Amino acid sequence: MGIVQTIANGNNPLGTKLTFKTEIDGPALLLVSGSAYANVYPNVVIGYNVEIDGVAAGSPQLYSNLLNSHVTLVSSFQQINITPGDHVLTIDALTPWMTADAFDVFSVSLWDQAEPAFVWQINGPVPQYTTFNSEVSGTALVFLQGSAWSGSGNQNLGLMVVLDGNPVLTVASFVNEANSHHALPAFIAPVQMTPGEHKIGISTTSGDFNSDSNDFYTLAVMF
Amino acid sequence: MALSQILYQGLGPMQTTPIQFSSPVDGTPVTFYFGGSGYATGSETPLEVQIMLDGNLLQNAMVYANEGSSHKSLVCMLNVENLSFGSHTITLVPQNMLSDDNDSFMLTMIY
Repeated sequence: MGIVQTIANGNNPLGTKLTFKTEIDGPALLLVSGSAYANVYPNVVIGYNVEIDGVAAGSPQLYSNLLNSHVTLVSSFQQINITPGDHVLTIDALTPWMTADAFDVFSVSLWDQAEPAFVWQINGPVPQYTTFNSEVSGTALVFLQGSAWSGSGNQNLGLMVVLDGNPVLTVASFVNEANSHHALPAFIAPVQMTPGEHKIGISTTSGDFNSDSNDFYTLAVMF
Repeated sequence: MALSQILYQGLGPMQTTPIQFSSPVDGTPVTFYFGGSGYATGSETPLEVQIMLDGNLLQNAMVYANEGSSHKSLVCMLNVENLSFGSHTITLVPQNMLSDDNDSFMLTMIY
């Protein structure tokens, strides 16, 4: 992995249109994180529509059961191809029943990839597993963020990345509200990798953990 | 090859004493990624963790909490810093935010 470049950190994400310069040439990952809120109806998907030079480049999102309550979105980590020079980043609302304001924050960064990363962005429910190929031997980075909900509230929600049958990254968070989708924290951790095919998945660690098609998960392995 | 090191990992209450670490690089960009959650007893509160590198604000992680006593995941505002080789400290400074053993944290250095 090479350069990480911060493109933007700020508040009031919607309507962002900025020009940035990069030296990165080739495949890269665009990490977009942030918050927003549903202001028209509860129980809707909210998020950002992110583009670079008019081309879709990611969509952090969450199913918000709450109305007029700021929520953290599940980050998007999307593979793009970029060339050195000037580019334009734009961020707009993903759906019409949401907004964001000065109390919402966002962060956009570009991660250069010397080797192509494995990125898996899925809807729940979890557990889910897939396979990928690694051409490297040594330390890689694994990123995980996802959402879940509890039927009873006041529960610990736990997620983990399972690589070849072994947990390699665990994330935990507490949800106070019942029946309300909640983004867990995003974690990045080192993981040992060998060349060849690997089975990787997202699983759960706690009891009253609910995940459905309105939950979003982003898993990336960067070499 | 992605090289990284976990500088801090654990459950709350979040450690606020300085975290000592050694930079393996000299003058090249280093990224610090912080994930975690917290809460405030009152409603309508901006939760924040300031990430201080050698006593200077490097970046923060934030979210606005409308509900009081409700755990919220923070959004990491990522920054990149050129580090000199050798000893440094990172200090996590909560602003308007509490954490307990229902919150988890991870701070990773990527270089």
